[in-house]
Amino acid sequence: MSKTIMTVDDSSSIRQMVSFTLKKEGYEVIQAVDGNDALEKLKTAQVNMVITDLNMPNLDGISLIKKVRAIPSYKFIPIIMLTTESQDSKKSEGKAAGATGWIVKPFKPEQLVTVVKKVMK
Amino acid sequence: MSTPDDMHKQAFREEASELLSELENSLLELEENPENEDLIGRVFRAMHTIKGSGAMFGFDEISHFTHNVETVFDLVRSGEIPVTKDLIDLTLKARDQITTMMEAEMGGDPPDRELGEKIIAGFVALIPSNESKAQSGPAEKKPEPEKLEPRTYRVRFVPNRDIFKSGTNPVYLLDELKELGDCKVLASLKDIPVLSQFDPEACYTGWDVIITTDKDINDIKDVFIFVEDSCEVSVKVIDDPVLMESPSKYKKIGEILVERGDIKPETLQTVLEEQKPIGEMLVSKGLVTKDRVESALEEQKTVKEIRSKRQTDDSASTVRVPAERLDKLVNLVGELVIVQARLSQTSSVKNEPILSSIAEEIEHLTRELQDSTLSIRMLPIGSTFSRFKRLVRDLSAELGKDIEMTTDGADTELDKTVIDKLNDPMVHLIRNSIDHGIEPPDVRKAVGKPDKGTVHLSAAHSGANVLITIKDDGAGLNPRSIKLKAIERGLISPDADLPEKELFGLIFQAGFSTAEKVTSVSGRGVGMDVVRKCIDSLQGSIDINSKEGEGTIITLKLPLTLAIIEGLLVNIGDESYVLPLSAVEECVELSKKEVDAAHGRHIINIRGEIVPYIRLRDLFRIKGERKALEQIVIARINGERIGFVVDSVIGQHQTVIKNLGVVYRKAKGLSGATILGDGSVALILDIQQIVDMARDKEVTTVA
Amino acid sequence: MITFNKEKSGNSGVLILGGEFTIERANELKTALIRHLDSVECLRINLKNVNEIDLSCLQLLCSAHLTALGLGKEVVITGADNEVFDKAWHDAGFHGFCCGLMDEKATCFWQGGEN
Repeated sequence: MSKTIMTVDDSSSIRQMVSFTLKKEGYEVIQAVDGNDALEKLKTAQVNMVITDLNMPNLDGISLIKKVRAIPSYKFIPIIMLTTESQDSKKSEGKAAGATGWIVKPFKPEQLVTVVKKVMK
Repeated sequence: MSTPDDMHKQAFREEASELLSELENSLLELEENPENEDLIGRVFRAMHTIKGSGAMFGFDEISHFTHNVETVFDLVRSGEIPVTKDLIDLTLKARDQITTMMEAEMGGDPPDRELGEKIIAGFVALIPSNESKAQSGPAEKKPEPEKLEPRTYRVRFVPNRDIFKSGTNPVYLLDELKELGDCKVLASLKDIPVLSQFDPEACYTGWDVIITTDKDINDIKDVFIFVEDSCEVSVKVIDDPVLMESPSKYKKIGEILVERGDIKPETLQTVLEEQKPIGEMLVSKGLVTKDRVESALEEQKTVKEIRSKRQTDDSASTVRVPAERLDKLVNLVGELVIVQARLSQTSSVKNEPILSSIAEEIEHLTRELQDSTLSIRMLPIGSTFSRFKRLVRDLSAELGKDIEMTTDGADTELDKTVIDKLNDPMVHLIRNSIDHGIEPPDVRKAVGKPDKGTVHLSAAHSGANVLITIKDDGAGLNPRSIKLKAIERGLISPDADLPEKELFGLIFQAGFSTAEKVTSVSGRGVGMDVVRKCIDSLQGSIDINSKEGEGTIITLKLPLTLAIIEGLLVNIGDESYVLPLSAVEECVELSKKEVDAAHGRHIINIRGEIVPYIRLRDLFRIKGERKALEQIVIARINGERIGFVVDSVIGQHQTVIKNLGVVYRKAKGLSGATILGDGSVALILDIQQIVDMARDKEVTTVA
Repeated sequence: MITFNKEKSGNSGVLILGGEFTIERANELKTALIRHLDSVECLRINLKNVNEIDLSCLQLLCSAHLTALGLGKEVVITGADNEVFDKAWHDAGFHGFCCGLMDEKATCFWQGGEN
């Protein structure tokens, strides 16, 4: 059974790129435009992994990670955050919130796949 | 056709143009409500997305330009920079500049760079000095790492108890390490508590991984990049080929445990006072758990193995010595073996403990020296095999056949002289397989075989011998036509009833050829007998197996080396002789009664089987009476059992072959001589020649 | 699924584990181990029907064994030749020692393919 990954980003071009890249690798992909949208969609879908941007309107990435970890069925799933080089402090903030790892933007599709395979089998 | 890359670029253009028009509105609204955080956030995020996504999809210039705008609005967001009319003006200019840059990307007019730099300078001026350094230009390309010699590392990984709660499966990290190189993974379970104190969501396991890889230490550390801050991760080089350390020496168990921090140096010192295997002592004293010691032992073992392997690798690739020097060395070792035999014999006579122990030691060393000296001359047979590949290719083309040669055991080692002498007979045998054995493609098709025929060469060790087989899937030998031909050639009498195997053996007789047509490749009736002579001279034997329609298998059995053979030492009168042990099957007694029962014929009945024999005493005209009870050494020659009558059998003997002097070189029935422990000389018998001699003699006697 | 069958004598019982044993079920497994180890002298844990097992549950099996040793009881694993279990056990580097915890006198934890 193929695994489902949720991509959370307010940038449509990034969502498209993440989604396209992961689908090509055989994953199911659910897109969410911000933290609130993500939480809504997590209620109805069974997701195996979340990839989220940090800077988003309504509910930002760090808060989203904390809320996802509070849901019992998502306590142990891998959560990857997308950061930029200038956000080093965000990295540790995200880790403390329960993120599994991060990808630094800009990144190439192959880097995305490498990280996904690193944390989920 | 648009690539995924083009597609992503297009998506970004659309997104950016939306963001830019939204940005304009936000900025204008912000001018009205400079305190509105939501608006500030929107402007920041628009810049953030343009910068981040722009860099993702190759719009580096735009991304770079936007970076400083984003930084300023991050500071606005945190209240460090106020929203002023000037800022709004500047940002609107920046927005227009970005729009121009986007259009330029799609083939529009190039942007005014000067203006762009002015705008950037305006933003940079707003940023407090320490922040402005956070440039995010295109990342520098890391230089390609050089390919490293494999090194061995010890990775200690002790995850944080809460690691599961960050969505990390530590076992995946171990799997990742396994992809980098050869790994030994050893868990440490000492922290696992009893059930009542067990938190099911905690990780109590840690690991030591001994990994040998040509990757850089940073590649190993990168595996742990997400967890290195929260977990104990240490990577240490424990073996490096550059620091040429002795292969057998590696740190003692105690040192490894101290170095890893599993025990304190003082603890080690105290325990070392007693003498037992250190690991065992430490465990029995409860100073360290058994698994930790196991893990340290594993490290010790791995490094030792790697070092000794490396040493052999090194030596395999370095020395080139002229063959004559090796031959000289082999000769000297041969002399040494002889002297050593004398020493052993002398010491056993003298029965002096000190002398005996020295003799024993010398014997041991000599044997080792002999083995390693001979192994120097050993070469893999593979180079010969590959030469035949060409032969097969050319011949099959010439004959219009489609033949593939496969090989097996190309790394089997043989004495260089044996390999050299083996070339001609192998060529003959392979030619024969291709020419007589494998059918033309149309014939093969007709009998339901694949068009392509196969000749398979294989080599394998079997005791002190090497077996080389040449197997084809051709027509096989036809026993009837062999028989007819043999009768025609007068090799057998028309009423002879020979088993198939002996019929096949006839093809190695001089002047035998079964091919209907004579081709340029083979079939002139010379060849197979030459093959047999050649193999005989190598102290080897030929075995032939064939099934009509299915193919032929020829097996050559050859000694590993020609310098020293296993012999059977026998006595006749006062003389000693050596028979090659490889041919000997058994020894039986020959009593006077049995001789009389045969009525002058030289045959003996062994368990119902009639075996002819040759009395060596007669053949060599040795003076003196023959004994009442003689011994017969039964040997197999070309599938036939033949006995050699001697006075007594002494036993097995490591025989160093010495060439005979010029005078004796032409003496028939002898292949060389050797020197025995007591200094006397024993002749080595060429039993094949002896049989031929005896046959000739019989013929002349009859005639 | 976790099922438990107590033998007639009442001294031993078999705990049959079936399905996926990942961290989401670690607590369930822990509870079952405590309860059933409490009720018998020898607990046999059959892994034949396990089709996924992760580190959290492997640790629990070791803990059960450790606990049994402390109580003078016995824990025996059966069906350990199950491929899924064998792979997980090796991947996690648990092979090579008998749980690493056992003292010299203890019987070996792993008894292989019975049942």
